[in-house]
Amino acid sequence: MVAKLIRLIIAAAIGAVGVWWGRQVAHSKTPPPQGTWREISEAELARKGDNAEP
Amino acid sequence: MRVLLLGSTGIIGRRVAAEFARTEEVTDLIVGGRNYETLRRSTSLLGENTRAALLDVEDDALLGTACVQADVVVNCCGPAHLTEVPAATAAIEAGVAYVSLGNDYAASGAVAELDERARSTGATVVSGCGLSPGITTLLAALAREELDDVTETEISLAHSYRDLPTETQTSHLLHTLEAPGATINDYELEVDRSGDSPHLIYFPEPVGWVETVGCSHPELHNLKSQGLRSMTVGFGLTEKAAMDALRSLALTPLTSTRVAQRVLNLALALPPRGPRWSAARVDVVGHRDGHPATVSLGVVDHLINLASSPMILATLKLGKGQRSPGVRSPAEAFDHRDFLAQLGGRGTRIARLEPLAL
Repeated sequence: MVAKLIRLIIAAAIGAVGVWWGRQVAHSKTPPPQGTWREISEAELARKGDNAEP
Repeated sequence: MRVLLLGSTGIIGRRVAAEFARTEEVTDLIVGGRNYETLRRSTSLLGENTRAALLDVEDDALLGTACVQADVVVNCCGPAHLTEVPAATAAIEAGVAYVSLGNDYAASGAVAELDERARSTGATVVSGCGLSPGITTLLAALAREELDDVTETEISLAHSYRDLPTETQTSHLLHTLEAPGATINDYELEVDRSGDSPHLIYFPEPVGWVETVGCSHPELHNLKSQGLRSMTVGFGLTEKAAMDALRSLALTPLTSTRVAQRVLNLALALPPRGPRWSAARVDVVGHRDGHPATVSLGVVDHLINLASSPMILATLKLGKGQRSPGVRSPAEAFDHRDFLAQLGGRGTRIARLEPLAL
């Protein structure tokens, strides 16, 4: 009975690691960039500030 | 300006304290904390304008006495679900300005309900002035400028756990995924389970693609007044194995913060290890000149800068007299362009997503 339980626990642990590893492999390839992140400069941000401090 | 800094011995608190100590505008800095030895050590390094005060946010009387000695109370005490309401209440009762990270949905809602009391005592309360709410609230305001109307807002966060692997941060992350998640769907507020709907989001480089899940987040309190048709908030860690471990821990009842911190630190050793940078992305959908349009803005820096810089800027602005009593979002309390330009000046990278040409 105990031996069966231990085998069950080991099988469940191996299964969990397998699912996790499979997920890692499945998600290891990321899509190509969605676009280009262009930095917004301080000057560009401050340009339209209605209440901007001097 | 007299500043009372709560939680001054934590990582974010120490950063904020160091900057206030060398800022001319801060003439009197009271650093509060629960540990006398740590307080004494940090105060000795900060300079002559600094005083230490043994404080606990759960001690209303002591906190109230300390608050009346300040012009602005800055709360770096975490986690927000435990500290935000008592600290904000003490500042409001003392009638002084208040700034905090305020990154918890339920606590932020409770503070919003103190608006009338804050107006009557003359306290300006900016609860939620870190990365999110805070920078994301200001980015959403910036994006709205370019649209005639707004129907949807999506806020996505990617944290690097290695950036800030503290007990407080762990407790906050666990709570974020354990607490019910709220979204706006078809103009209605819906409360759902956090940790669901995983999807990949493209953040400013060097963070790039990160898987996020729906989470409980106070940004809804800041943006709900806009009559949005839809609003979602997603959260992910740049370290994928740590994120998987965090999601599992959040589903496990009675997980202690210390155990979670150990498990997450172990998971950090597993590949793929994402970049040690944190980022946020705000997508605002609406119409421009009668046509559907989307504006996507992002921000990237180390988490400690993203959390501390907005609080420092907000404190200095409140100290200069930019106050309007009541509970305010950062976008209501300050000019968003001016604020974001000053953040950019401190080295935080603010960017716009330009889609690839077809």
